[in-house]
Amino acid sequence: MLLRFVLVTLMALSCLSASTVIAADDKDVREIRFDQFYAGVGPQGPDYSALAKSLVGKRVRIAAYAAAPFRADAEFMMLTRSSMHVCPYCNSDNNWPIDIIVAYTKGVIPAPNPTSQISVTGTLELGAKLDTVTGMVSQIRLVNSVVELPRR
Amino acid sequence: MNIFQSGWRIIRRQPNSSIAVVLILGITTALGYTITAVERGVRQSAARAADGFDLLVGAPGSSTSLLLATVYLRVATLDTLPETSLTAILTDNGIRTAAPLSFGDATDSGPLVGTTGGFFDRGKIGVLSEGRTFNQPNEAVVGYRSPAAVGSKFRPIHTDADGGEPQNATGHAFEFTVVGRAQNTGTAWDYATLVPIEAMAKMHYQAVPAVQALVISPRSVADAYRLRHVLRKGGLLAVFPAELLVEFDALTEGPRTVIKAAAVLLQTLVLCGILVALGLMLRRDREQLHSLPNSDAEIDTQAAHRYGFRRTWIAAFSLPSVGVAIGLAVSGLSAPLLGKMVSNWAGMDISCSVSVAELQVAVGQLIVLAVAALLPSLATPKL
Repeated sequence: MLLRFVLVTLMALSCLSASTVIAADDKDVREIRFDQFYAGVGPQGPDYSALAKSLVGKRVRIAAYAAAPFRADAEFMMLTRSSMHVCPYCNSDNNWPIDIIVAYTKGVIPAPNPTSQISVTGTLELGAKLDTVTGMVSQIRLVNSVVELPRR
Repeated sequence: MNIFQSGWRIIRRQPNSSIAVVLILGITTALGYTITAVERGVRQSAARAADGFDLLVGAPGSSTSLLLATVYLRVATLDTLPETSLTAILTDNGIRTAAPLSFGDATDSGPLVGTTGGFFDRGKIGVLSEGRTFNQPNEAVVGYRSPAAVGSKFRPIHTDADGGEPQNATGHAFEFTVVGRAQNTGTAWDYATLVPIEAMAKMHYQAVPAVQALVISPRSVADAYRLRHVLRKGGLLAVFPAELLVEFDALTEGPRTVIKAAAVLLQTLVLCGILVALGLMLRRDREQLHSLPNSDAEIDTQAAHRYGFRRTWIAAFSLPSVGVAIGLAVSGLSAPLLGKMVSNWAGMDISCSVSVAELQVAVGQLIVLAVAALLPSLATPKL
């Protein structure tokens, strides 16, 4: 009884920091899908869709898969349309996704299972932007992201 | 008399037992917090060491070897990348910088690594603390912790040591001049010496450098994942260090959880023992109090009982709490100290410190203690 109490208390406390990042966030959230970001490919590269442009600066939620982690213990994660880990047939060169989303989180979140779908809510940002930490340019970003892991 | 003074009197009356309680809890708490702080420090430092290495490319083989050889400069067997695929890779538009790496030789201070100027073109990581990068085949840049001074000359040693004097027996007839020093990275690279990869080839009488790994910094996020995919399709090994680190974390999560659970269990058992001891201690105190002719608790038995209960709780809570506080303070000192020891042993900076996680556990411990302190109070006989 005492032991269980001690363990539960300790576990609850250790979860405190994580639960602020991994939690549902429901106020004024619009849903968006991976296929809704681009309207087509123009001479300057891909053009963003009207929907995507209208949602810039708003909280959006997207169902995604966690891409192979680019940095360990980092405050961001990469999201892809489909799980890119296992299927040897899925990612041929021609449909290789350009629509990788960088989701910046507050705090470090543990790497989600790459084969299970997650739901990420964040403030949408579009356009080329250089990340000073990684030195890489990204096109689609979700800032202040909250990650919902699937229930087991 | 103030109830806190009264509680303090219980403690003061039995100084040996009180000190023992504080010490035992202090030591186990410090041990528990130090273990968790060091465990976290090692994990974070290992991850930070990989920061300048975005995409590692190698010949088909073990990705673990590729990671160990490049990020941590551990001796590992790596095949050389075929020259044809190398030239094909390097024309890709998505590459911001690419640095080939070649290992196998050493200096007195650590490994000798052959590379190109691209290695220093990786943002903050490539900035030198002193001097300049190499322009000539016989110039070298040393790691931050290398004892060689800028301007000094050295001859590399070959890592296979046959005979009694390896340095003289298998040293290369090739003299390098140190022209620069890298900045402090806190990684194994601080002990390395960097030389032009062509010089490495010349040292071994080869025309073409043996590139064992390629460190690529992609231009964009999409490029990073595309390159990883394309290179893999091309039959090469292409990994983000983080992929492997996260995998290692997942693999070692079981044992790490067991260690942490053992620490918690140990603390809980010690707490149980302490509670029993406190119960006995307080019972004796109550008996002494009872035998006194004119004690502070008398006449109204109900009120006296409540008063006795409270002062017992104060004693039973404050003693272990002081122990926890001391344990936290001790671990605040011992975790960085142990981190230093582990750093020397691992050859990289491992900074360990007590953080919010430990403070959270300490708060939890205090809550548990507050509740658990009720038990000895309940167990003491009524007046």
